Amino acid sequence: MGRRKFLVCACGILAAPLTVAIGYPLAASLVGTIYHQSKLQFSKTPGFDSAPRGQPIKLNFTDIETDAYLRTETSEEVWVIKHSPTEATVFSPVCPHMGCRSNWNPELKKFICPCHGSIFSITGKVEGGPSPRALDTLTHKIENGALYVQWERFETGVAKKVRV
Amino acid sequence: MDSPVKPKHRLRQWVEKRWPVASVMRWGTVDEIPGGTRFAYVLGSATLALFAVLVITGVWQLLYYVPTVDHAYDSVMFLRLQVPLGWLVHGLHYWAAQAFIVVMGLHMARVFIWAAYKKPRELTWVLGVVLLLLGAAFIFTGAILPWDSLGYWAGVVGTNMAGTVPLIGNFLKLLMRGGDAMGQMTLSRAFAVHVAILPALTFFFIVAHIVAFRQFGSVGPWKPKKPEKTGSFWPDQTFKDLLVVAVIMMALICLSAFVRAPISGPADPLDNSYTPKPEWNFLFLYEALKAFKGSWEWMGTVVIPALLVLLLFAVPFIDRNEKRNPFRRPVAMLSGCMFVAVILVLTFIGHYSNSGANTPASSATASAPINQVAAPAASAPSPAAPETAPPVSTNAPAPAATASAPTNQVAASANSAVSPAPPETPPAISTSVPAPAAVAPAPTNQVAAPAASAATPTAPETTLPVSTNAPAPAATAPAPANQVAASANANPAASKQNVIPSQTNAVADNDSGSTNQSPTYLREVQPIFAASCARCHNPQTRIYNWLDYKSAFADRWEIRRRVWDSWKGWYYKEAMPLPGSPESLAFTDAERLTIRKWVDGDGGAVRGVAPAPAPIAPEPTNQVAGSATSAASPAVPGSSQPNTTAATTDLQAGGGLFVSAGCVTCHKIEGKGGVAGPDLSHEAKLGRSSQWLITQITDPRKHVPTTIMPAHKNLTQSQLKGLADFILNPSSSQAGLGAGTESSAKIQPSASAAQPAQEQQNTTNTSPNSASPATDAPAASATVVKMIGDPKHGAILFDLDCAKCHGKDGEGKVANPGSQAGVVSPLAPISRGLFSDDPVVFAANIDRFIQHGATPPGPAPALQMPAFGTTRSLTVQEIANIEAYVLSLNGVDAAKIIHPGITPLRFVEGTVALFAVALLAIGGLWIRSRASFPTQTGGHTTPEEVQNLKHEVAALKHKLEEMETRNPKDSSGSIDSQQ
Ligand code: FES
Repeated sequence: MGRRKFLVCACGILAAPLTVAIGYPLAASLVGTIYHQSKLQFSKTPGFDSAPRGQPIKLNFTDIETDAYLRTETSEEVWVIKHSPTEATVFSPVCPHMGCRSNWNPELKKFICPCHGSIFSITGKVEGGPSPRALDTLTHKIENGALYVQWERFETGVAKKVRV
Repeated sequence: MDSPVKPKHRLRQWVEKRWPVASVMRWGTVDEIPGGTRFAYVLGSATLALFAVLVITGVWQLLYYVPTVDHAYDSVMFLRLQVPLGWLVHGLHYWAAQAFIVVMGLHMARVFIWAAYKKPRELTWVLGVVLLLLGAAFIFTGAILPWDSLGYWAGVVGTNMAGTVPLIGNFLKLLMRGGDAMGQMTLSRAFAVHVAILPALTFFFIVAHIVAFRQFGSVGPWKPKKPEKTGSFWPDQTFKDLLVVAVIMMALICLSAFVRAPISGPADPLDNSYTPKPEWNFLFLYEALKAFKGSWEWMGTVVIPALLVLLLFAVPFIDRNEKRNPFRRPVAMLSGCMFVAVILVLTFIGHYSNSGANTPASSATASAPINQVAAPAASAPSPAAPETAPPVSTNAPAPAATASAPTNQVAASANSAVSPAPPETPPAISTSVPAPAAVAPAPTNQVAAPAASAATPTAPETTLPVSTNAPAPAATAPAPANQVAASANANPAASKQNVIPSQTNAVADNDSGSTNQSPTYLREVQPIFAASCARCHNPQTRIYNWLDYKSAFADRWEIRRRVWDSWKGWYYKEAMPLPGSPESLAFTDAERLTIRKWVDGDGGAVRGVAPAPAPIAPEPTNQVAGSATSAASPAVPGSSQPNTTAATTDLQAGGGLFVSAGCVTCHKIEGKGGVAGPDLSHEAKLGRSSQWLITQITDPRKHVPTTIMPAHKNLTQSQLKGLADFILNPSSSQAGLGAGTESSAKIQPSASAAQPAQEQQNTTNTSPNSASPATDAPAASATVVKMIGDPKHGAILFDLDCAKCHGKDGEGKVANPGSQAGVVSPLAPISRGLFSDDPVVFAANIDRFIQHGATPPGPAPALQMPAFGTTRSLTVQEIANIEAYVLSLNGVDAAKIIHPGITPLRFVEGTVALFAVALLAIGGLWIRSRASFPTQTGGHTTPEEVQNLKHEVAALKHKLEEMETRNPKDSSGSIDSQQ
């Protein structure tokens, strides 16, 4: 092998690790974040332990939504029916009709939406009004007597419960 | 022609006929290097390689970076901590930039020593100097981009320097900032320049530089005798280049892995404990500027840099003799060495000096009335600007002013009036002072006072020239921000608004002069929407969104019909809110009336008025405008003449004064009042003397140099005494506070109703500053917790705010009589219940205390943890920095890399291994093939080899031409068939 050829080869051999050293971080940082899913978070909902049994109660919590470096903090409310210290039903207050917030009417023992008057039973079933489906339930878990709710919103105005 | 042609060659031919690949390749590679290749010659190529690295890593950062003031810092931190190997991409960009400047300097030095700039290569040198200047511009604009304290203040200093240019200085500064204050426009400009304009220019000049270089080739050794040997660029010099580039890259990777690219806490215009300094590249200049003071400052900021640049440009034209041997041109070499030595020495001095904060010179200038620095209002264009931390305006003490007594006074006096501004500085400049938020509470404080005073008949200030005026608008403002807005226009002539005390709403005359003021109706109606309607009428539902004022305004007639007429039974449609719903229970008749009046309102509503900004919004411009106007307004209460008849010293007057002098707008007393200042209701418990309080009122910076509290200098001794007595014993003077409590009680409902509105704005803006403490009181503020502070800067703040109770470095056991523990809990090490390995959890644990304060258990603890966040005594960024420091005291890194991809150490190990393998392979190859190397040329390419290369090119060209002439239409394969 002549000197020139040797140098050409040497250049190639040297260029390889250089390419890797720069190329790898570039590739990794390009690809690395695409599989980080924005997973739904469980937010602690204070006030569950003191909630009455068998009766809907409105609980507030702070939901933090994270999209890369953007964080939005919203205060959300849910209707919680405590069956036992370890069991509960959590309804989203968002009316499936057009998205108003439904209220629990203790006299009538119904959820009533203030906007167009949809009526839901305590199990969430539609008993009147324009709502296309029952009140939406939310995923939740109870740990050490504390309630954690996974806040989600669903498409309004349609009969199927679809995440938005 | 029929002979089979390899497809590869065919393609080459096809391209070659249309684009001269071979010629360009040859041009790029065949270059005779007289005297042979040398390692000294690699510097140019290394600079180019570094530039390539910068371009690539720069583009990669664009995948994550956003140039907005509220997210730039977050996005950089996201790249550094959350993106796999993002730390490396960011670090490489930073370190390559530093290396770029260094290697460029070495390259210039090399060229200077070899005298390679002499005829005919003058233009190569000149183009190189242009590239150096472009590099400097890159560094300056790049530093601003992360929008951290470091970059922010570097930007402030840099633009202020430009501001000292005679005649056009102010214009230049405004041009660079894109406005009068550092803000979004500044960042956008820096961004556009850094990623678009400068790279384009640099590409152009690099090409021009290389073309100029290749025109005459390398200059070779300076020895006059004929160069005996010749090297070739490819592959001889290229190999050396690659070796050096590999070494540099290895160094950059190690630096990125082990020395993090500096980033300080998020930029915080309110934080004046930060001492600005330019990037190290500019330190020498910055140091040189200090020599020029007063009206000579432009010498330092304009003439010296201009001379330096001119000198660099002129080198080849000054030094024109033929000699190239450095030992034969002592004058040139000596002056070159001097040049480098001066720059190095100045850089070192600049590095170790304290940015002027504590140097006697600066405090002297600050206290000298003739000096422009003495009037911080005009500090921006003032001569000693870069040194005395010019950016901070009238209301905030200049960082430099934090330490020394004379500066204190100056800063304090600047609070009350703009007047001391020197004549040669037009007053308009005061608005251009960057201290954006210029401490919003201050103007509020001052201007709210006339309003309150009008409501307090006994208050001494009723003799104000304004007193004939109806109660000023600020009195009913539901949110502090509105007060600020109102204050901007609160000059007696223009203010026509009046308050109808018997009604809950105040309908304002829509005076024509109030263009930048939120109309009263908006202030009144928005809280109602926010409190009662927004539960459904928000952006997330499919019905109308009334948090958007425009759409509410468009619907106002229907709103009125539903909310008023239907409820009264005058309208056929359903009443709104639905009867029986919780909203309807919370909806008072007064609110219905307000809505009705809003629609019928005398002046009507102005279309498209945006909702009032959230209180203490970070948008600098608004507040600066507000504060500047209010400071200049004659209605500032502090400047009124003390009224002798009312100057009684009893508590009652003190209580009245507490309201009328505006204390109440910021300070809670007995749980009433504003939130900007600390709660004063337990001052007596803190064991403060009345003299201490008087000092605090007249010169707050004596106690806390960084306080945002304005100095109230125009109160008489007896007034001060009354105030102090009142603060120490507020409950016994209820009567005195009567007027105040009444008015604040009136404010209360709307103020609390306004809260959800602000909350909404917060969530939509997610501006770091507007986190409303009242809404997240029980929890830690997520904004702060996720904001990655700077422990170094936190240490400074800790010393100022925390160390007196928690001890130096959080270790001290400061006695706290009356508490169960007897001492203030130490922070290093912190109690186990608060500690966590996870920085976010740890920060959240301590954030609650810093935000909302705490009272230690025990019968009567003398010391309590103040609520720094709730009272806004510290900004969100400052709290983040302090938290980062407390974390670091406990061995937790706030800026822990969460997704490293590969840990820094592993990556370095891997790269070293790769390079080692490559070197071994090259070594092996060399041992195997060295026998066949020609020895007589000393390992360099022989002239014959170079000749051969040249022939190759010529032959190729010739063949192509031949082919053209022979078969102009179809010549595919002609070359190969000949071969
Ligand atoms: S939105 Fe609930 S009924 Fe229409």
